[in-house]
Amino acid sequence: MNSKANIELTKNGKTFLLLSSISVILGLAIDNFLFIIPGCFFWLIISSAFIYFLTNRNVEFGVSIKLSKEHVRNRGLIAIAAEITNTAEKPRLVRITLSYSYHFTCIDTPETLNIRIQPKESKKIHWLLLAARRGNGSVGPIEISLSPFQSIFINRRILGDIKSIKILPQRPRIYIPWKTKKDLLLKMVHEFAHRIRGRGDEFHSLREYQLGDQFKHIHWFATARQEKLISKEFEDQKNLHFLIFLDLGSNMFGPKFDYALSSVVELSSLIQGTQHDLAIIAYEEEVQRYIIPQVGKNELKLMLNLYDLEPTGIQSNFMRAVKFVKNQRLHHSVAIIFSDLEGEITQKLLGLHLLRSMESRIIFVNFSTMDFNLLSSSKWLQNQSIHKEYNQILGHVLPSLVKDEYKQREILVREILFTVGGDFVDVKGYDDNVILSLYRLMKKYSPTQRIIREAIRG
Amino acid sequence: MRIRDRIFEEDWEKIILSVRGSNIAHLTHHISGAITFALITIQSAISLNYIPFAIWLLLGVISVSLDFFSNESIGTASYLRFGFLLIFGTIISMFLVNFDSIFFQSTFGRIDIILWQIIIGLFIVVRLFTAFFYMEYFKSDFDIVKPRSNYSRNQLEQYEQNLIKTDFEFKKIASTSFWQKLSNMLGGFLWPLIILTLLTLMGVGYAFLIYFMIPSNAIAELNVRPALIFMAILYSVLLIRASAVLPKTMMKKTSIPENQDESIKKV
Repeated sequence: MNSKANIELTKNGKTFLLLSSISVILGLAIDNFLFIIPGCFFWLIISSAFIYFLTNRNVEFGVSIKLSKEHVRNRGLIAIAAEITNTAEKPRLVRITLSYSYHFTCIDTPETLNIRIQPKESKKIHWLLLAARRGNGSVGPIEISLSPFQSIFINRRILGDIKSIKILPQRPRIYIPWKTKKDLLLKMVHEFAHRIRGRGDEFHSLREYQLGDQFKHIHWFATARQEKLISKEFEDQKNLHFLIFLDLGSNMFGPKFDYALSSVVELSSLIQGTQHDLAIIAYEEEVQRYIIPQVGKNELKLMLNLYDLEPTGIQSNFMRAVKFVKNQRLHHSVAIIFSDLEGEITQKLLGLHLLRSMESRIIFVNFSTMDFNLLSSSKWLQNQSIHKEYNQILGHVLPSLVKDEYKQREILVREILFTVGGDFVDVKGYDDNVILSLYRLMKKYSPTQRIIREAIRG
Repeated sequence: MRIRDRIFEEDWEKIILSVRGSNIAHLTHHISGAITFALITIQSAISLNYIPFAIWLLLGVISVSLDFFSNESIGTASYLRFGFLLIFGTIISMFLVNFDSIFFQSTFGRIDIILWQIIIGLFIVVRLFTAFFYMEYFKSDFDIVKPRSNYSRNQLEQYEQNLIKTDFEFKKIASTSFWQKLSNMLGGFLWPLIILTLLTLMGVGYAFLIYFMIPSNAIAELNVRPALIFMAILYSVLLIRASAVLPKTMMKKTSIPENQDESIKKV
């Protein structure tokens, strides 16, 4: 266990020491009690701080910090227990402060407590922390202030180790039944996979009966119509190759990025449970992380690979990510891009055509919605905002402006995606979910919907 | 900590927790400051010192309005401002006062003047004490969160219940009471008070020693003041030296961490 003492006369203390001495001596010289009494009081305080130091110099405390778990999900709770032992012969009133990183915030009990510890007594103190941010958090050490005049004379012991805690992406708040998830995957397979005859469950076509076909596969209605034996043919089970692109650049930061990351984890864990292949590519200017989760491995393992991803804020280069994928020979895949509508859109989506040439299906998942962040036209802000009140801009002008701006950008992205046969999906906010969004998209591909669409076009 | 997140704000309410009793400490601090200025102003009025009366009234109004109407919390700036106003008023008054003022040097021996000075001095002490007390126990406002929505309330409740089921003991602990804090702070003044009393007695004794040593035909007057000034200078030097030396003595005592210890052994 680390133990460090922090003892120092502060600047305040030095000033008071000087002031008190001058005040007492001056008061005595001119015989004025108005100076003597406050001066003496200053002396009392400073002397008291010194005496506290002298009487507590040999006092030692034992501290042990215990955590309820080593990793916690963002917006999750963690309990900290600290056991403090007073080895001195006298009872002490001490101030105990728990240090923790910016990822956490205290619930109900503040981080600083004044407690009285009896001699040879061990006291257990508990804090409940809420993980408010994702990343590498830490808790500890504990500071024990021994004297009551810390603003004048710092007399502290810093005890305990720094414990690191991994704060993983947040848990999805919407519960989606497994049936829906399975349905989504089936629809994706049906729509995106190459159809090959084989021994699957999905119906492919009818053909004449051949020797060796199973009787249960004979289509009796067709046989009756044709007056010859007709049997059913099935599709082979086909694996899809999912590529998940996560944008770390541009304006992907804050809650938006956190939600995007959580969505990646959620979608990946769904795919991981099936026979489909999966690769996650987190990219900014370069490919920062390339993860191929193994089938059957749990979600935690995946999250431990992804939890410390941080947005970089620089313009991301999608082209490089696509070239990387090409080098890995990941053709015929379903590419799902998790990004937003900020920055230079045409520049941002450069590389889609290359992806298309690799015969991949593209789905763009947009996280630029009103729940996550605001976007505004820089030109408008420069030219017109000068003539308006700031409150008015924030309250009325900006939200409507942002909506218009989003719409324009969405149309642009849709146009680009149309040229490559891609799809556009919105995660509308916290009440929405990437799986639900994809489910909505796949509904658009359903045979009835297709017939209706074609009828309208026709 | 600022989190720009709608869902976070819906679930958790950010609260700046102020310690119980902070309002009382705040009020005592401000009122004692106001009484200090009021007493000086009243004394100036009684002793018919019109110009100092006007000056102290003005300074009092400035100090009280700054205390009550500015959002500044009690800290170094507030008591330095108070001290500055007090010294500024004293310096001006010393030049402009008439006979009965508490700032007129020739009247300083009078009991009524001494009483005024002591009472005003004590109110300054009360203000200073509450300032220190406040800074020590009440100043730090803690940022905490409290559950706001049903979702977070349930989350917290379930987490606490589950913790109790595990071997991780969870029990909330109460902070010490206001009176314990006050007695702890006042208890620290006992030894310094004894030391200062001893110092004063030594000063008086020193004055008597000189008085008896001087031949009776010379200046046969007992004057304690120079001896007390001498003691005050000595005590100041002692405190300044102690402030320089004491932290260093403790730093030398701190043990070498275990890993460094091992490296020394290997060498």
